[in-house]
Amino acid sequence: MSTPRSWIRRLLVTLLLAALASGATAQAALTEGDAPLSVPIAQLVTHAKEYDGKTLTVEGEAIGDLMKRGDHSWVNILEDGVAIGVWLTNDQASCIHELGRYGNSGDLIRVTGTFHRACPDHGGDLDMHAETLQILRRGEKHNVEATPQRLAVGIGLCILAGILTLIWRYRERKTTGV
Amino acid sequence: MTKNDSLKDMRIILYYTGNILVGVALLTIIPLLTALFEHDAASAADFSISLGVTLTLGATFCLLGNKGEQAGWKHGMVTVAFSWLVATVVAAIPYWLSGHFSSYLDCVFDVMSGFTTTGITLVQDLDHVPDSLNMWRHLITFVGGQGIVVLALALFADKGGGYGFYVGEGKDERLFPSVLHTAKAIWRISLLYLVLGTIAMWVVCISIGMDIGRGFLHALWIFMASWSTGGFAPMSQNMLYYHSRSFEIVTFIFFIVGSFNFALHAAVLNGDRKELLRNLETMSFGTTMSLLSFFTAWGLVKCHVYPNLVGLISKGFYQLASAHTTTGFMTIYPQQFVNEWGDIAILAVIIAMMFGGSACSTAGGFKGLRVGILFKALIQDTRRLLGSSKAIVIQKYHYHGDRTLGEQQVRSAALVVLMYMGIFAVGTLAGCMAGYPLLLSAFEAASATGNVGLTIGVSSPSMPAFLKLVYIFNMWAGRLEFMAILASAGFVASLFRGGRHVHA
Repeated sequence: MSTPRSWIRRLLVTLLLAALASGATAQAALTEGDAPLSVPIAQLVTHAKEYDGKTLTVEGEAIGDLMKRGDHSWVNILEDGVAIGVWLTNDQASCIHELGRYGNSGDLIRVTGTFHRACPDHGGDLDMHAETLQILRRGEKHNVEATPQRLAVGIGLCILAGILTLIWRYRERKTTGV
Repeated sequence: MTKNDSLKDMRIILYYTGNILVGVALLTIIPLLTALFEHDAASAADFSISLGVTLTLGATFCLLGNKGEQAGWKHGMVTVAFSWLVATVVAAIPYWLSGHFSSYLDCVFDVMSGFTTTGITLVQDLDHVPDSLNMWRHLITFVGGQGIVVLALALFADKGGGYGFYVGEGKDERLFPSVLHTAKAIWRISLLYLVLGTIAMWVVCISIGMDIGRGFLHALWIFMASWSTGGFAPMSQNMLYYHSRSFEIVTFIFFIVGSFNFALHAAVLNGDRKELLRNLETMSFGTTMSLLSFFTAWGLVKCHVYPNLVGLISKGFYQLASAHTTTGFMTIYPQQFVNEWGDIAILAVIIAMMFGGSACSTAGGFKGLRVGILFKALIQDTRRLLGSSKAIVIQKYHYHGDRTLGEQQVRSAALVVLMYMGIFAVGTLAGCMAGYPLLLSAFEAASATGNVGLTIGVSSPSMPAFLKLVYIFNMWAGRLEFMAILASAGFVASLFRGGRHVHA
């Protein structure tokens, strides 16, 4: 048989659990609501004023070079033909292994950080200052092979051009005597 | 003109065009070697096809053509106009074979943009193009800056004459009495700067974190594009890719120096440094640059575009200097011009693009000399109006010596400026007809006409073909400064008249 005291204890425990549960739900909702907005790079560049100073997430292929500047580095990331510079720590930069170039696709990365329309620290550059960096897919090398037909056409044309040039030079020498 | 005369003229033009094509063919050996050095067989095959086609065409033209006694003024002018078109079409072959362009017209557009040192590009996925193709793009712009005919003159000319070729390519300043010596001197000056400039850029590239190999290639290409006031870059973000103020400062110095007259370079290299401060052209450039900087800064500050002075200089002043020297390097995105800069700053950039750099330099636009001459003429006329009706007003100016302003100089300058304005208007109208707003159309037309290369976003592979053709024409006409094109039009007209005369 339950006493009034045990009822009060049960009620308090229930209330505590309910409060914890509602708190956790609220926390989850807050996290979901405040998750940095994921924006395509092209949209970011076109609507730079709108996103200036906001914490955002962008995704793209790391291209070109990792340019080390002291304890930070620059890397440019490309998405749908538009690239943006990302300012990140050397530790974050060390996660990037492949950079997109000819015959090479770079690592696909997700960067969360602060977007600047005209960065006061970097001479007014439009850039992102990374807070977190995530590698979504590793880049890889691609073999760009020459087709035998193209090679054959190239060699054939060069031989023809060489013969014609020799005839022209021979005729020139004969005419001018030089 | 009889039918025989026409045939004789055409054979002379064909012969010299063939010479120029052989010169262009020899140039393709450099990207071919780049591809071979990097074991890139696919690009090597593309460049060997290009070499084969260009050399075959060049040698065939030389065989079908005739050197003649001595090429005259007319032959020089028509050869320049014709050879620029043919060279552009054949130099586009490796572009097309690379698969980075959506049509052959886009390839031709890009090559014309390179040869004329404009710098607007329609390449797709630039960040993944082979080094050999980037070498070709930048080589084209470097050679185009000095002039492909000047190159051919330096390589193949074996006797006097050739002034028509030289003037036809938009240069009229002789560093030496002989055009051949002048052509060689232009190349000596450019190659000297190429070596020194590449070393300086290489140091900067390494200091900003690039590796030695890529740093060297970027240094070489960026120097070529700066010196020739070309504006091409190996990465799609152009100068913004490097995120470096030191990079911007060094490129700024090179494109300013590149926009100066070759005669001024020769004078300074020979110890006459005072010419730099007294020359009408440098004074004209200094004045217009200062005025336009003021308006650009006004416009940008009014719109609160940049948060501090460094941003204002790095973005505002750099873009304006890039426009005024007709370089086209960009440290901002085209969309930022439209969405952030405001009308005053954009208008200042459009005016700067039209004014351009120096005559007999790698730059485009009206040229500082013509702006200076027209300003002096305005002063002279104002003095005439204010003075006694019997007074003779003499206007002097300094341009490699003290000179008296003559009616003929004013007339020539005014005519060229008028023609520039004419094709600028046509370019703007074409942009509007394609559905772009007036300011955007005017900006892009000024960039193409002045051989600048800044873009506000109009130029893209998806723009209408007729607009691409208009811009190609504007780049070509603007670079050759009309004379060669007018002479060619006259020559073609005379062929028809001659034909009618013979048949009658």
